[in-house]
Amino acid sequence: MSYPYLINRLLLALPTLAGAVTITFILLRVVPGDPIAMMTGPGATEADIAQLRAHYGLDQSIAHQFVIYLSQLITGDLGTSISLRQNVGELIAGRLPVTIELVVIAMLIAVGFALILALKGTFWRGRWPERLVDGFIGVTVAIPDFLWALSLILILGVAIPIMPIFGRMDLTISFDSWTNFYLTESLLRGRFEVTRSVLYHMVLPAVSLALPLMAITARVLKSCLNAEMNREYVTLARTQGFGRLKVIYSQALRNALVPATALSGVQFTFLIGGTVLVERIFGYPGIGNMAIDAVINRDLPLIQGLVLTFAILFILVNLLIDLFITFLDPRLRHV
Amino acid sequence: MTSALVVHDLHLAVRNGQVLLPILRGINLNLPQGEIHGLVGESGAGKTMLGRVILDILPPSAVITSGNVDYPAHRSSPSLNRKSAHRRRPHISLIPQDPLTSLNPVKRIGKQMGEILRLAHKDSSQQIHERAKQHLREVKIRNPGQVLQQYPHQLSGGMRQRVLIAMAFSTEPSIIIADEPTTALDVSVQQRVLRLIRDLQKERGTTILFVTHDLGVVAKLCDRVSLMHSGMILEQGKVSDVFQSPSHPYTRSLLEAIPRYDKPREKLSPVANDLQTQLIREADEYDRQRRV
Repeated sequence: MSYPYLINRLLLALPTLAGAVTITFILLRVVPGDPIAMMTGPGATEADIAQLRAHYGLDQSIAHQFVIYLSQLITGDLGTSISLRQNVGELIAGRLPVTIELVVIAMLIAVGFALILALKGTFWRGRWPERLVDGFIGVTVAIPDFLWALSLILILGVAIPIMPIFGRMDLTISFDSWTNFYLTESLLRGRFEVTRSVLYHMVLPAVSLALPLMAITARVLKSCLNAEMNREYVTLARTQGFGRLKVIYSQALRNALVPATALSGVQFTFLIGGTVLVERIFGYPGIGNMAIDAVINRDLPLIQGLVLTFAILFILVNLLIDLFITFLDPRLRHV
Repeated sequence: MTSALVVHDLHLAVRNGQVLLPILRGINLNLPQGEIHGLVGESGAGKTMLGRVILDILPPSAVITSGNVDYPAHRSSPSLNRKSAHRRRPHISLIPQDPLTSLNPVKRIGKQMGEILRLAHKDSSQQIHERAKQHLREVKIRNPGQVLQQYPHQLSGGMRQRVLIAMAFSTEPSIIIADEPTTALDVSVQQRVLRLIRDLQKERGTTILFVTHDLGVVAKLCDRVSLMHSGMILEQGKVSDVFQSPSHPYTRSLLEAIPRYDKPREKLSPVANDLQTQLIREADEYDRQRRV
C-alpha cells in the first residue's frame, strides 16, 4: 500500500463530492417548499417575507445562489441554518460524533455476530443445525431496521420495560463534554457512570441498526466460506492434520473475507442512511435525526451541509473497505 | 514384508436424497512397505474417492457400506475410530493434483510450511524456519530462503508442485497418496517432478499410492498397478506382467489407446463404446447381486 495510491483515491473522491453538492443544491431549489414560509407565522406581511428572503439570499437566481454557496464552501463556511440560526458547520460537528459512536458500535455488533453465525453455519455444513442458522439469517434479513426498532421498543420498552427507549443518556447525570464523543470521552476521563448510561441507551438503537446488517453480512460470508471449503487447499489442509474447525478459521476464513467484504461493504454505507429513521424513533440526537428536522423545516443550508457530510462518510467508508481488502489479499498488492 | 496399507473389500456409496449411489464396489488393495503402487482408471472410476477414504477426508454425503482400511505396519496406537473404516491410522500425506489451487493464496510459503511442521514438532520458530528451508532444498529448490518469503502466486506451477511435495514429505509420512501430481504440469517439468518423487521415496522407504491415468508414468515409476473401472479393480499385478500380458480386455484396450509419437499415421484408438457399456452393465449386475 503506497501513499500515491491513497492520494490518488482521495483526489478521485473530489469529483464525487462536487457532483453530490451540485445535484442536491439544484434539487433542493427545484422541488416545492419554502423555508421562509415555514419560519414565518400566518400573520407575516409581504414586506416581512421579502425582507427575510433577501436576508438569506433567496431572492437571487439559482445560479447566483450557487456561486455564493461555492465561494463560501471553499473557505470552509457551510452557511447559517435557517431554522436554528446557527452555523451549519458547528451544528454538524456537534451532532456527528453521536452518530459515529452509534454506527461504530452497531457495526461491531453486526460483524461480530455475523462472523459467529457464518463460522458456525459452515462448521455444521450439511447437517440440520446449518438449516437453523440459515433460517435465522433468512428471517433477520427480511426485517428492516426501523421495524426492529419498533418491535424492540414494544418488547423491551413497553411490555417488559427494562431498557431505555429515548435519548442518548440519563438526563440526571451532568456531563460537560468537550468533543461530544460521550462514549470515548467518558472512558478516557474515567467517568464510568456516564459510559454505562450511554451504552445502556445505545443498546436498542444499535441492535436495530445491527440486525439486518448482521444478517446480510452473515449470509454473504457464509456462502463465500462454503465456496472456499470446496477448494483444494482446504482439502489438503485437512489431510495435513488441521481439525474441522481450525481449517475454517485458519485457512478458509481469510480467503472468504475478500469477496465477502467487497460484497457486504456496500451495506456498511447503508448503515449511515439507516441512522436517519432509527435515530428518529429513539430520539437519538445524531445527524440522522437532525436531517429529518432539516427537511421538515426546508432548512436548505443545513440539508446541504448534511448531504455533504453523508457523502464524505460514504467515500471514507468505501476507501477503508478497499484498503482492508488489499490488506487481506496479497495478490491485489503487487499490481 | 509387512503391509503398509491394506484395503479390504471396501464398498462406498454416496447419498443422493433417499438413494445410495455405489461408488466403490469391493476394492481390495495390499501395499507392502516401500512400494509405489499405480492406480489407473478413467475419470469417474472412483480413484479419487478411494484416495479420500484412505486419507479420511470423505465428504459428508459419502458412506462406507462395508469393508475397511488397515495399516498393519502401524500397530502402535490402538485407538479405534468408529466413525470411519480406519484403524490405527498412521500419518498419510497427499500430493494434490493441481499445484495452482492447492496452496493457500493469502499465506506466504514459509507460513504454510511452518503451520504443518508446528503440528508435528514442538520447535522454536527459528528451528521451524530452518526445517522448512531444509525440506525445500530436498526438492531441489535453490533459493529456499527467498521462496519461504513468497506468496503462491509469485511461483511457477512447477515450483508450487515442488513446494507441495516438500510439504507432503515434511511430516515424515509412512504413506503418500499422489493424486495425479503431474497432470497439471507441462511435459518437461513432469519428468523432473516424477524423478523427485521417486528419489525421495527411495531415500525414505515411503509407500506411495500413485493415482494417474497416464500408463507411461506407471511403467516408469510403479512396482505394481491396479486398473479401476466403475469402482471395481479389473486387473492387478506387477507392472511388467500387466503391460506384457494384460489379461483383461479393458487393460489391452487402454494400452492400445496410448498415442505413439513415432507412428503419427496410426489411427487414434479410444476404448470402444461397447466395452465401456459392458463394464457399466457388469457393475450394475454386481449391485443387483449384492442387494439380494
